[in-house]
Amino acid sequence: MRLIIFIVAIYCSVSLQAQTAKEIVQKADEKLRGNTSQVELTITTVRPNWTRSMEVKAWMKGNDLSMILIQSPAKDRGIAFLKRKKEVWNWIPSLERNIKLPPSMMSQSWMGTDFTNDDLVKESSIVNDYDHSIIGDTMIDRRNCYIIKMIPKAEAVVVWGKLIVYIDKKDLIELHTRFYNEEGELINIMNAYDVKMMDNRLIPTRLEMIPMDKINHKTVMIYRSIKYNRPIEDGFFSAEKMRTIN
Amino acid sequence: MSFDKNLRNSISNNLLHHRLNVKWKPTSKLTTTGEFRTRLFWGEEVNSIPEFAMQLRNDNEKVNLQKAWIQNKSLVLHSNIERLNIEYRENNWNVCLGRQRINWGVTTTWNPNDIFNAFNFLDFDYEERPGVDGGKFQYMFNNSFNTQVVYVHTGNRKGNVAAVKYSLNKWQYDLQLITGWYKEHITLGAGWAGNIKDAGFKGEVQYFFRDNDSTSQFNLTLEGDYMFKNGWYISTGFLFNNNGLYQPISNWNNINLNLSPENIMPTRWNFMVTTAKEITPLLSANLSLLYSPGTNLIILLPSFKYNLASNLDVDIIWQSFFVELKKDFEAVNHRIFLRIKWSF
Repeated sequence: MRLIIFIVAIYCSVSLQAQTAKEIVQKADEKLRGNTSQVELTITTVRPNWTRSMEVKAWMKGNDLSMILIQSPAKDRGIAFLKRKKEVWNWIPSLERNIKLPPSMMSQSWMGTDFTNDDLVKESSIVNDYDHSIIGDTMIDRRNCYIIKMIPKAEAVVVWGKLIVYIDKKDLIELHTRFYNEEGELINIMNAYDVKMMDNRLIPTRLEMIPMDKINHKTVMIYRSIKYNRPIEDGFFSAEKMRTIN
Repeated sequence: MSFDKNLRNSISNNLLHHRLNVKWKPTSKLTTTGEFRTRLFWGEEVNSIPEFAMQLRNDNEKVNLQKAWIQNKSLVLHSNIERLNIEYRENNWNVCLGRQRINWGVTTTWNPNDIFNAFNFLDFDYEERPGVDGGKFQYMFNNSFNTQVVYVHTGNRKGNVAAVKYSLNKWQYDLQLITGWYKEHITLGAGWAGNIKDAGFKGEVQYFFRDNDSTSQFNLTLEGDYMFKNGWYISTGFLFNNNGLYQPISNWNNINLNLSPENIMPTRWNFMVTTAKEITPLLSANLSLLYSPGTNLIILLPSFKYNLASNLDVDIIWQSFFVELKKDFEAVNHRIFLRIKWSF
């Protein structure tokens, strides 16, 4: 009897903890995304011998709808990406064509950066496609953080094999993320800096994605402006809008 | 630069290409677009082809908006207005009048559904592709279902095209149905883009009815593509053209690369494999191989693209043609292009 109570108690605490970890990730995710968000970003790819920057505008609504528009450099201006649920399209203005991307394209580098297509259009949901557990805590930039392990669910189509995220306990800001492949090797780390008030939310405004297997490679993403929870109709996320938005 | 089969007797040709694309939005609902393309040709090809400037006109444009500023034995300066249109947009409908590109294609290499203007897939330097003079009306029933009605005047009395397209997104597929009037005959078509597991699966089919005395035209293309985890991209395509050549030919000039929406390829069965790899974010390589059984036509198309600076790209494009002529399989000619492109 005592053993049963003990097992039940462990089970409860495990499930309680699992729920909490998921809630933390969910809250941090919601904080950065809002119900809807409109973002202006500068994305810089840094390599040992060169750097390239581009300016990007993005719209997001929930987990299912997003659109990204490239505003500079001139040669890529007007290129747009649309994601609806699990489907992704790419508008190429010079060809006046809308191309539906195969799912296998999701794990690839986005526009030559260290971000994958999946990172940008968030085909997978860090809340729903993973199982979360708290594995410890630590300090980053004098902020007390949870360390949360995220393992993709068996049925989820996910690029990564495991994620370890570090989330600030007080303000629920994701400050550091470690991306592992299916073999358990550390592939990328992401650091978040410059926590600032943007549209009445405290968020990191500079994100750096650093691939582990290459020296002096990184991609820096800087938020220039962000607007949360302004209404965006579902109809905005359409092939037609992708064509005419520029 | 082009060569004969033994990589000798080269003919060189130079081209300075200028594009100016302008958009003006007087109100949020109105957009006017103008795209101007000016080319300066010089070199041996200009010299050796009679009436070189005459061949630069797109023959499906009704209104003549081109001008050859200079044309002599050594130099041709030619401009064309590729797009000139005005578009009015409401929330669920829009209408566009003028010179525009009606692009109904779904697949990458061959587009049977692109019934308003065909293009030559070897002409890599004509990315925007020819426009047509006409009107387009689009109505969106909802986010995943819309229809387009298009009328195009090609200038030939019997050359007008009018068609309706229904587009639907369902079961994670983009689907389209086309019906219309193509040069005085009925045409029907369908296209789709979706995926099988993680690979893309696209296709287009188009049928052109004819009079009793000539064979109907039927084109079908299927395409699959996949991106491997290590970054190698592979695409395979197939095209069937029921009126295409399928016997060995006696003369290379029988291969007519002046293509039309009906005659997308001169050969009946065509297989194309393309593989591409981004070597670094600045340098990418691409290799395409086309094979047409029957005629035993092979086209080999390797290319490299290098981004020198943010808005400066260099391309090297190679095209080699091989075919069976009088029972001998041989190279016919080779062409190499070097392109430097500055975007501003």
